Amino acid sequence: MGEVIVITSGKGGVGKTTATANIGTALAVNGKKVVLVDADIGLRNLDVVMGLENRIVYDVVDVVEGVCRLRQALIKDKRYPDMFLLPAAQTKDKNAVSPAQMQELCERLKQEFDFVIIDCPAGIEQGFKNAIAGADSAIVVTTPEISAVRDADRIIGLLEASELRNPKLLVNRVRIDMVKKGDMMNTEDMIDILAIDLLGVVPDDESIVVSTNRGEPAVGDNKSMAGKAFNNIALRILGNEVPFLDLEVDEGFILKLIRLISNKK
Amino acid sequence: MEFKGLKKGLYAVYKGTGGFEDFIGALEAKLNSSGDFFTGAYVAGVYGIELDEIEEDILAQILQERYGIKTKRPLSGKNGPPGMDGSGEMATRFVYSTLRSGQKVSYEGNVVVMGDVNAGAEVEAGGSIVVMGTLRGSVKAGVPDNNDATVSAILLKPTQLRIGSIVVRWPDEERHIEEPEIAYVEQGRMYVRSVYDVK
Repeated sequence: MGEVIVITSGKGGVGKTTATANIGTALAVNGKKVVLVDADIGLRNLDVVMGLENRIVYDVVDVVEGVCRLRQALIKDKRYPDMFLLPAAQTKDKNAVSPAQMQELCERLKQEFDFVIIDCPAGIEQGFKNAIAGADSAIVVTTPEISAVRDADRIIGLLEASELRNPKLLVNRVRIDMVKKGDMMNTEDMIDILAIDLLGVVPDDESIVVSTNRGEPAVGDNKSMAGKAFNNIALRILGNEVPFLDLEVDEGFILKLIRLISNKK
Repeated sequence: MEFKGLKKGLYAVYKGTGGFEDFIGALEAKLNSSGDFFTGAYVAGVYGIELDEIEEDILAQILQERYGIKTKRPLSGKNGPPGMDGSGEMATRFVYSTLRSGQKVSYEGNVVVMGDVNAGAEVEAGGSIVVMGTLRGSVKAGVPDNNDATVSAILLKPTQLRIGSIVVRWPDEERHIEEPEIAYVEQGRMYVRSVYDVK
């Protein structure tokens, strides 16, 4: 029996879809059987980020309505040993699926997969309720901004009200240089407010933009700091103790200068 | 004449201004009208009137013989029941969790939160509010107009604070306070001080 993990945030644009794609991929790379479910019906993105858009024939609404079999709607990602995507419908809206139907779908997926990762839409309405309906645990994504933390707090409250206790925190898009200057909230501040366990800290990384546009998750890129951070998160989900990445980027003036000169050669 | 039930026992609260006889009269009137509700009760103090030893003897005898109420001597001369400020005597609701953004607790008595009250969460109480954690949200104590209510927290930094009819916006500057604090209203102004400084 697998585990259903919902990735949620409340606020939009904090990196839920990126986190879903990367954590899912990292779990698959580590030998797990993974299915990614896009619950953002009407505004689907996960397929694009995964580079699988052109292979969609059926979607989650088709499965729920019985238009096709579950197997037919699952898209296999050929780059990884055991990873599948269940895409959202783009021409429907959130009301096309009910929480009870999502719950049943998750139950079925759990039989076959080690991990069912659900990409939750922004907001706290129907789409959110659908996405969390079948989940066993939750990952709350936030960025180091007051507004995102506020929304994360609200979401944690709603998760607890839905009996999804002990969600884990993923802090995305941290810029250590700014944190050091005191221009950005640090992780301790956020944990102090939200009072939940930290799952991982992902640095702000340009390689994410590139990988998202290419449709290749950053965990496949060895040079990507964000990719490494997501890989560590996957390892922690698998029960390993992985120390938090040292996101040190402040290398001092001299080193910067040396780097600058050597790059120019 | 009123009775306040507290952990130690009942407190007879005398609201009149007459002497001992008037007090006894009011007490008997209250007890007579209450049937056997107070029978077997235990009076731990008398508030609102000073009694000498002889008067206490008479009172104890009346209570024991006519109403079957025990007493604990001395009855008068002590501080009234804790929190005779208009909120200590109210019923209290305990909230055993952190209140997060979007969550709200309203209660006509006091509210004690065993956790934090985060920004975006609200607490509304007819009496006082105690937060056994960090208070970051907006709270209203003494709703609608009880200026005797207080708000205290281990770490007090609310967005907005209202006690009775007084509303304040919290100052923006960072304060480094290590002690639990209490906010209260005195002569139309709100004050905040360490709970250890309050008598």
